[in-house]
Amino acid sequence: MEDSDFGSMLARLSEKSRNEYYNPYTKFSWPDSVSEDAWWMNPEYLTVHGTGLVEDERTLKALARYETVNFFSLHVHGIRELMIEVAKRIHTPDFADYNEYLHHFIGEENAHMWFFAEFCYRYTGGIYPEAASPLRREGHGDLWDDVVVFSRILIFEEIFDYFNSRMGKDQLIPDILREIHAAHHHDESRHVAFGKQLVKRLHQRACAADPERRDEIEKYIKDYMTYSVRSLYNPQAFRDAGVDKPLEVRRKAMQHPVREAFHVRVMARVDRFFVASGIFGTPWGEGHVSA
Amino acid sequence: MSAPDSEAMEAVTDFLRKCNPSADSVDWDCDLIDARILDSLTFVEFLLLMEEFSGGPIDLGTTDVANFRTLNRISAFLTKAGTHEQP
Ligand SMILES: [Fe+2]
Ligand SMILES: [Fe+2]
Repeated sequence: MEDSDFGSMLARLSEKSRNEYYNPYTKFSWPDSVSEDAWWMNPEYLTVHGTGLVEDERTLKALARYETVNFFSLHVHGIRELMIEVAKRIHTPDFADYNEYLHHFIGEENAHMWFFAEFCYRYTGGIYPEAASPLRREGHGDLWDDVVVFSRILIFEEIFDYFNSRMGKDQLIPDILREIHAAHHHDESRHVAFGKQLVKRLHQRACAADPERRDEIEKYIKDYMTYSVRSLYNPQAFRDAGVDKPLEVRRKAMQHPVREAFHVRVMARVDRFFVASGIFGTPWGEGHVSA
Repeated sequence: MSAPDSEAMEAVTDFLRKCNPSADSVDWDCDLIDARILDSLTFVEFLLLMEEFSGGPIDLGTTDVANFRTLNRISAFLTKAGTHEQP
């Protein structure tokens, strides 16, 4: 994409953000309660789907509730961390071209964090804590760190969009959940369009300045994809749903061939993007032995 | 890597190999973090594996990360947790 095309895309996306702006705090009509007899998530999106590891319907319904909480919690923690990185860059010389759009991004993500957390606090025991790593995050130099940050955001948004775009239309789940998924899907389609073009440009810039680290970054981004897939399988959700031997069942579900094929499908769009833009030499899905 | 001495160590070496194929040839005294086999992304999952095979939660406030830096120390940690006696 040429500079002028990218500029007009930015202007178009910013205008869309302005026109479609909504007040997240008044957008939803929150019911008094959400029935536990309902499927909070279509069973086909449960992490154990297709594995035969959990069969009891009561347990599966409970898992649908706790995996909904996990999914929403992932957005809260994931986006908090990434918003910090975006906030560090907005109105700095390297990101001057993107200021306007980054304001919309931060504002919209702040809204998403609020409604995802609000659902969990209203109807459940609240969000799950984040699975923090005791090891400090590796640095790759400023220019490559820019690539890593926006690639992480893109991966994150594509995973969410896989589920949001489907659950936002799913008549099986309670209205409030369907509305939340649909609202998020609506905003994220802009973010993903922007993210892809930005990641490409940042990658070209980093390659020009420091080509040596290219392979290291490809590995890191792929590892982050694996890490993201794993985060869908929260051991605490398995425990809370009353699954027997939760860690073992979780591990077996995650490594099940049916699930591995599913992970590749969830990642297909972003994986294709990374290959097509030359950021990956080979697809993540190909070398993907086990998430 | 020498032959794993239990189901737990086999699961550990399997996991490390998936993190980084070079894990296959590391010495049991090799520092897995310095060797970039375990990193900030993979460590979260690695700890869950340790919890599964040690049979209880691991609180990093009281358990030093150093316990997991080499295969020998991991093996010692799991032995101490009683895994090796379990069928
Ligand atoms: Fe979002
Ligand atoms: Fe987003």
